Amino acid sequence: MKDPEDPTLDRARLHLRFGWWSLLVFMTLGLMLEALHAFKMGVYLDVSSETRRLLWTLAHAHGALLGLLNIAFALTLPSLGATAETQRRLAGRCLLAGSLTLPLGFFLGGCFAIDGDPGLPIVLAPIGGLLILLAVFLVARGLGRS
Amino acid sequence: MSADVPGLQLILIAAVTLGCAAWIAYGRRSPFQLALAAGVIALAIGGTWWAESQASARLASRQALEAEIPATLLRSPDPTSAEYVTSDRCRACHPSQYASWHDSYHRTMTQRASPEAILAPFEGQTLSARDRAYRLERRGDEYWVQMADPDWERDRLDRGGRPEAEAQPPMRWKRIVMTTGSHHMQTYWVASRRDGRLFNFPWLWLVEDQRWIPREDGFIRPPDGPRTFDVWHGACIECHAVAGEKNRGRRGEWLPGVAELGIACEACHGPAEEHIRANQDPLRRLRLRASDTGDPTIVNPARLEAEASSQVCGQCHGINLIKSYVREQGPRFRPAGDLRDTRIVLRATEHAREVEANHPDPQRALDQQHLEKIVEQQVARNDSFLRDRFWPDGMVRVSGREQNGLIESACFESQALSCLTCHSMHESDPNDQLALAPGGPEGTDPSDRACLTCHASFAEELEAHTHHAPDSSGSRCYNCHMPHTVYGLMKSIRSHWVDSPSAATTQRTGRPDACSLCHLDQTLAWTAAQLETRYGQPAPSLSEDDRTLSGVARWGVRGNAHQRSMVAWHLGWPDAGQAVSEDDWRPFFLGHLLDDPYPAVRYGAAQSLSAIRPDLAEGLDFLAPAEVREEQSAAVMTQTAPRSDRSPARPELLRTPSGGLDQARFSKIAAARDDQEMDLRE
Repeated sequence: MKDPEDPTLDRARLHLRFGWWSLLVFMTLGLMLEALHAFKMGVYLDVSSETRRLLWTLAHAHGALLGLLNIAFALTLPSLGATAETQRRLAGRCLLAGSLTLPLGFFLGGCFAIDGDPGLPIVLAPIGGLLILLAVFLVARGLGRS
Repeated sequence: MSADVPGLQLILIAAVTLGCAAWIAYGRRSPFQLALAAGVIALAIGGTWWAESQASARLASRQALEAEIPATLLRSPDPTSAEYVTSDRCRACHPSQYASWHDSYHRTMTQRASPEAILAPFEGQTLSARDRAYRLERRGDEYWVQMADPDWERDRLDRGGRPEAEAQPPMRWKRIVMTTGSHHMQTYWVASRRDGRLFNFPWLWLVEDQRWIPREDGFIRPPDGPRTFDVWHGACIECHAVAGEKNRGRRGEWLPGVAELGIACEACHGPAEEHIRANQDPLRRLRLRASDTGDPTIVNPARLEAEASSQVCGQCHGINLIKSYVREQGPRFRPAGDLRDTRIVLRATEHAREVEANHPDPQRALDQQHLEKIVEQQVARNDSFLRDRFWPDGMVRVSGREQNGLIESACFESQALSCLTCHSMHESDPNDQLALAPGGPEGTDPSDRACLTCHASFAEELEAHTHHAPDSSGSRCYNCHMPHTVYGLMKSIRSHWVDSPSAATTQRTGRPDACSLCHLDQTLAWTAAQLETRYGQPAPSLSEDDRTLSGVARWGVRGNAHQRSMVAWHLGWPDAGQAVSEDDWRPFFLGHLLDDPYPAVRYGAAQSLSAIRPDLAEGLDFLAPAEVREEQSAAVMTQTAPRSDRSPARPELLRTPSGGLDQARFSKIAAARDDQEMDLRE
């Protein structure tokens, strides 16, 4: 029988919730992008919006995939039994922070894009990418030990 | 959504970064967690600083450029019509048409100055001509030139002075803000420091030759004529941009405006705002796709009648004058409209004048009177007004004015021919925009098909009609019916008045016919005899010169500047080369033309010599000092002069009965050169 106080269970629930909500948000974003196509909205389709279109598409794709990654992380947590709690906690936090900053960086970078240059918030994207890389590394290493 | 709100962007970055860092560091903290949180913050600060500094510099440079070029996104002067939206918005629904247009030279006709647009090097060199020096410099993505202050020059010019004669003009560094041209040649513009005028930087970059030349030397203009001082809003703005307008501000200052730089979608399809608004409805788009009718909210020139379709091209590719009331208050020509409502299409043929003057529409007859008046005034000021644009029979002689030729053609009058019969804007090679898939009978030469669509019977017996081998250049429809009698872009260009060779017309107008342009070593009497024997064309009564002088001697040595430039170009034309025997008489005459007073003629001669005898063309420079040119010309003539022991006797080529050069006759013909000043207005 599992211990209801087990932090692993709480963490798994957190990532599952985050993952599914993230899927909902970014799939909705995908639907909105399709609507922008259907109604031929210049703010998304014009040549001068090319960077914005690319960045919003990246936000949609990365957000949805990172949602799935969070669900996968939640399901992987029980297999990380032998890994130190600190490492598991750090991996989880990096994954969550990265899953937020990476798509947000793309999205906000697209909102403020001008000509071929993304807006300043694009700096959030590489930060998020590094955090996710670190999380993936920690999980991979943890699985090797368990 | 704009980058004009960096504060909001910084707040968003700070909020997300600090939230992340706090989340990572939250709870029981390890040194690694703290370091990671600090790293996230440091990365955000560093990244933001770097991105901001890069973007700020680019933005400042771009904004400075934008501020100096004519305002874009012009509001329509006609309140009843829709507005322009620019090609930026067309791609979403028409990606392939956008792509083919994007590859075209129409798009790059006028561009903002940028490393992608500027073809010439600006690497610290100094250009000198007519006692003026121009220092070029590139500063990052910006292009600069040190030159006589163009505002000062213009002021002098407006007061009737000759700024080019001033020895010590005030010098200024001016940023190149705009380019015009990209196919054959490119020219550049600098901005006034007082209003929206753009002044031409008086040099041309020849794209193929990869060299700078003074602007005056790129045209057939009097060799020692004054420098030109072109301004963008003078004439260029009408056709080298979409919906260009010569606006003035409250204090009379110039504030020219355009809907878009370059010749973009709306130049041919009309303003598109209504079209875009209507088609944001997906159901409407579906309905239109299911039906075969056009969209009434946009013009498709391919669906217009031949005349209206050709007028879309003719608004720029024609010599026409904007009617005075239109110039002042609009409305301007819109595709699908009648060009003659807003412009006077200048036609110099007697036939055209007669038709226009007797037109049942009183307004049209009024226009004709107005036109006559304008022409009279122009002629009174300068009797070369018509001569500089038309041959004596009214055929247009300058490039870029194809509609003036087309509308005189019998095929056009029968409504069988429009520009789109041969050309396609979206399914063609960008070079000449000739349709890749013309109609016409299969199995025939693709270049003949547009003609053979109607004249199908000639396809069956091509040789019987052309009297040339079917696969030779002499059997190509356009070589006989659209010869290169137009001048422009430093070469000869096909006439778009589709007609047939006639010795009588050649004799009357001085315009070499298609037969003579291929067979430049023959006399006009020879041409007349061929046309009489083969086509039953009565031979005209010919002069002594017509009977005894070859085309190359008559037009190349003794002709006027336009005729000489035509001969210089045709001597290197590969299609005409097929008619040349082993006795290649061409280099000698090209050698003579290398020392012509007109730079454009010398250029054509050097190009042709380079094509047929590259060994003789090494080191030739059509802009070299006079003494060098004379030396180079003499050297080529000496090496290629006909020799008594080798060359056949051909008196029409100015040879003695023994085959040598008849120097006395040659000198006499050369001394009789037609030196009337020519200023062809391309």
